[in-house]
Amino acid sequence: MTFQTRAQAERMAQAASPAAAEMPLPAPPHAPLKMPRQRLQAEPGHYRRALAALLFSRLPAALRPNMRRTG
Amino acid sequence: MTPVRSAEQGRAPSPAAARAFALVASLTAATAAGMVFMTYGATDGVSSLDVLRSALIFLSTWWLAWGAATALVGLIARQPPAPRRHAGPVRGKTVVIVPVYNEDPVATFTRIAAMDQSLRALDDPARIDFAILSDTRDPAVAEAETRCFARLLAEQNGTGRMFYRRRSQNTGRKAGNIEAFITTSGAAWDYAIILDADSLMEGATMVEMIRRMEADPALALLQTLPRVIRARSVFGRAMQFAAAFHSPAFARGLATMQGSAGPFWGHNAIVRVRAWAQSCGLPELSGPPPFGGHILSHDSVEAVLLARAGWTVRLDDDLTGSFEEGPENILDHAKRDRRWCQGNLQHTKVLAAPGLLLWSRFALFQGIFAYLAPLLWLGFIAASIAAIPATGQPDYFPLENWPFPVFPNDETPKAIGLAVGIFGLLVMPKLLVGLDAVMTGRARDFGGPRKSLRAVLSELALSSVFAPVLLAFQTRSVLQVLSGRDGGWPVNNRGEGGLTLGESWAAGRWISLLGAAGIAVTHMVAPGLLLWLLPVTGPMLLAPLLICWTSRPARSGQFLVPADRALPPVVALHDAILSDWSRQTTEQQVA
Repeated sequence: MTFQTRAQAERMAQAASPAAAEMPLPAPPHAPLKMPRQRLQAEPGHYRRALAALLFSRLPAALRPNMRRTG
Repeated sequence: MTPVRSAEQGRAPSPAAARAFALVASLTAATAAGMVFMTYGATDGVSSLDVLRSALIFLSTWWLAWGAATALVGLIARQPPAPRRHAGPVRGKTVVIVPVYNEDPVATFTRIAAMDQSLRALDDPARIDFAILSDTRDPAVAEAETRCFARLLAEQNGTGRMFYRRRSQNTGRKAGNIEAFITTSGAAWDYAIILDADSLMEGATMVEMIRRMEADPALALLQTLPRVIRARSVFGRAMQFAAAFHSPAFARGLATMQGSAGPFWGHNAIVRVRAWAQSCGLPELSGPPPFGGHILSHDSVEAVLLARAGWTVRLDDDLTGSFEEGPENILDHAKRDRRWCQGNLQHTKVLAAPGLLLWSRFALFQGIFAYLAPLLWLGFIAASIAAIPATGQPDYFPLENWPFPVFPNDETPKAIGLAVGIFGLLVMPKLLVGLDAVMTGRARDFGGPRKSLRAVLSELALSSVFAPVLLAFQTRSVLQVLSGRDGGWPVNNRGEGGLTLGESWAAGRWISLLGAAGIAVTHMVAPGLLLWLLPVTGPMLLAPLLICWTSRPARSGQFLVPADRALPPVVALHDAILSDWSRQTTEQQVA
C-alpha cells in the first residue's frame, strides 16, 4: 500500500481511532546512555606517521647485525 | 564493557579458508579472462585499447567470479552446527525499535500488533517492549501515526511496554533517529531488535535471537536473512523468488567468509545495546554531500565499527521467520538503489578509518565496487566499439619478397570461449543452487523440482532482460554522485506499484534513447558488433515497455515461494489485523 496523499492520511487518521487522538502518548523511559563519536577519518598525516613509527621501531633491529659485523 | 572471546561456531570451512578459496578462484578466473582477451586482441599487435580492455575485462570478471565463489562457498558449507543458545529463562530486557519516516501508519502499526500477538502466543516469558521512533515530516501522516498508536495501545493492552515518540528534526536520518533513542532511553534495555517499517518477525524468531545473544556475551549484532513477502508484480515476484531461492546459498557463503566480522543490513537484526552505544556513534564526514555529511549507508559502517571494537557481528542464515517487503517495480528499485549507491560510494571516506579489520575494509570495498562494476562493463563496451575502426585492415603481405599472402590467426573461438565463460559465471551459481535444491528436496517448497527449475530459468531470463535497464539506472546514479548531486532521503514505496505506459515512458525514455544511440553508433562504427551488443542495447531500447510490463501483476503460480503454500503465522496474523483495521475504516467512511 503506497502512502501518498494528505487526504489518504487524513482518512486513515480519522479511521484509526477517532476518540483516541487526545490521549497522551507514552514516550520511551528516560534512561540515557553515552554514545561517543567514533573516529572514522584518519587525521592528516596519520598513515605517514604510522609508517615512520614502524620504520623507526624496526631500525635498531635492522642495524644490530651490521654493528656486530663491524664490531 | 569489553567483549570476551566469542563462542566457536564450528563452521566448515573456516572463514580464512573460505576467503582464500574465493580470492584464489576469482583471481584465477579474472586472470584467465584477461589473458585470453589479450591474446585475442593482440592478433594485429597490442594497442593501448587492447590493454585497457584486458584490464576492464579482468576487473569485471573478478567481480562476477567473486559472486560465483561466494555462492559456491555457501553450497559447500551447508548445514553448519546450530549456534549456541541460552536455554534457561531469558534474563535480558529487549526493545523492538521501529523507525518510521512518512510510511503508511495503518500498515506499520498493524505489523506491530501482529508481532506482539505472535510474541504473546509463546510460552516463553521474555520481556520484550516496542518503541516506534517517528521521523515523519508530513503533519497529516504524523497525526495518523498518533491515532494508530493510541489504537494499538488500547487493542494490545500495551501500556508500559509500547512507546511512541516523534523527533522535531530528523537529524542524521535513520541512524540519527536510533542514536537519539539510545542516548535518551537505551539504558532501559539490554537488547534492541532493529526493524524497518515494513519488517515482520515471528515471535519465536525474536526470542531465539535473544537466546543466542544471551549465550554469547561477545556477540554484539546478530543479523537474520529476511525473506521478501507479498510481492505481486512480475518484477516483485521475480525478486521475491530470487531472494527465497538463491539468497540462502549466497548468504551462507557470505556468513562463512565473514565469520565474526559479519554484515549488518540495517534491519531485522538484534544488537547488544551497550556495545552499540559504545561503538556506533557515527560522526559526520568532512565536506559537503554526497561524500561528506551524514553517513547514508550507516549499517555497513556500524558493523565494521563493532568489529573494530572486538565485538562479534554474525549473520545467522538459519533463522527463519524474518520478513520484509520489496519494491514492486524497476523504478522503486532504482530509487532505493540510488540511495544505496550514494551511501556505498560515501564509504570511500571510511575505507582508511584507523583500526578497522582488513576484512572490514574489504567488505566496504566490495560495497563500493558493486556500484563501479557497471561502469567497467560500459567502459569495456565503449572501448570495444572504439577499437574496431582503430584496427584497420589486416596486412596479408607483411613479408618483403614473399609472394604468398599470410593470413592472420583466427582467434574467434577464443572470443566465443571468453563470452561463454563470462556468461557461465553469471548463470552457473543460480543453476547450481537450483540443482542443489532439487537434490536436497528444498525444491518441494517451491512447487517441486520441475516448477522450481522452470522458475530458475524464467528468473534468469527475466533478470538478463532487465539487467541492462538496471545497469543504466545504476550508471546514472554513480555519475550523479561523482558529479556531486545529493539524492537526499526519499520515502520508500512498497506494496502495489503498477505503472502506466506513460509513467514508464517518462521515467525510461532516456534509456531508450541511449539504447537507440548505442545501436546507431555501433552500426556506423562497428557493424560486426551489432549482434553481440543486442542483448544490452535491445532491452535498453525497450526500457519503458519493460518497466511497465514488469510492474503488472504476475500470473498466478508464477515464481512460487514457500509462503504461497503456507502463509507464515505472523504474516497471516498481520493480514487479519490489517483487514480488521481497513474494514473499520471503510465502515466509518460509509457512516
